[in-house]
Amino acid sequence: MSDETEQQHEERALISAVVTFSLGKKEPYHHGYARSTTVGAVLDDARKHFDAKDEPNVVWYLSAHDERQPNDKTLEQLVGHEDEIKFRLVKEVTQG
Amino acid sequence: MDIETQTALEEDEPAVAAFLKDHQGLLQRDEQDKLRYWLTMTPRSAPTEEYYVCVTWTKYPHAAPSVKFADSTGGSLTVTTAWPLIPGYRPSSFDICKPFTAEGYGIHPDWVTGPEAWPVTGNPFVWVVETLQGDLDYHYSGRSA
Repeated sequence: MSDETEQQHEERALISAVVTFSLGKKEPYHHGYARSTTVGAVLDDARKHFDAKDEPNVVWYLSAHDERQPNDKTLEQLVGHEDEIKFRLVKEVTQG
Repeated sequence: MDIETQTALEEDEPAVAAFLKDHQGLLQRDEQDKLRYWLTMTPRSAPTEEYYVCVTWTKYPHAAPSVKFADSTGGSLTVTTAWPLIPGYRPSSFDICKPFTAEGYGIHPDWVTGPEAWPVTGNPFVWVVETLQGDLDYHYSGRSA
């Protein structure tokens, strides 16, 4: 396999993740991730992008396929053979 | 209705409708009161149960909406069986004591600042509906008697 082919293979292997945030001031977060990347790692990056800080009584999580996703799940477990995934960054205020 | 509220609601409403459609729900705007919306929502664990939510804005996006459950779209807001059992939702008082409703902020003036403060960035209407859906999906334990 040539270097170029290996590079193309790596690019194909990446999963394109898009994260939107309903309360975000910025555009959606886009990034290519290795298939072994965990949801938690994407959550950390998305929170940095949207400046979503730790606060008392606030839980942050990612939702995909219309349900909350555990942080230890890998992107490959989420998408199977697909190469893109759309998340929502969700701010849950636990007070009340 | 002031111009800012009208413009902002018209801008943010399509994303709310799309979110609800993705979750087997429905968004309808009240024909008489354009500040009022009727939502049909379903908990993930009980797909045959439908709840009808009345969301009424005053100044969007600057103030939290009144959020109540009704016995049908356009129906009564004072029926306890219209309410889901979720921590912070109070069927006997017909209110939600959480920091995303006008009723919650009315009970807890201490929520006006800090992490519970009402958010005015992005699309708070979607956030309110996301919060309701999250509560129905992950904190729901049945219908109120």
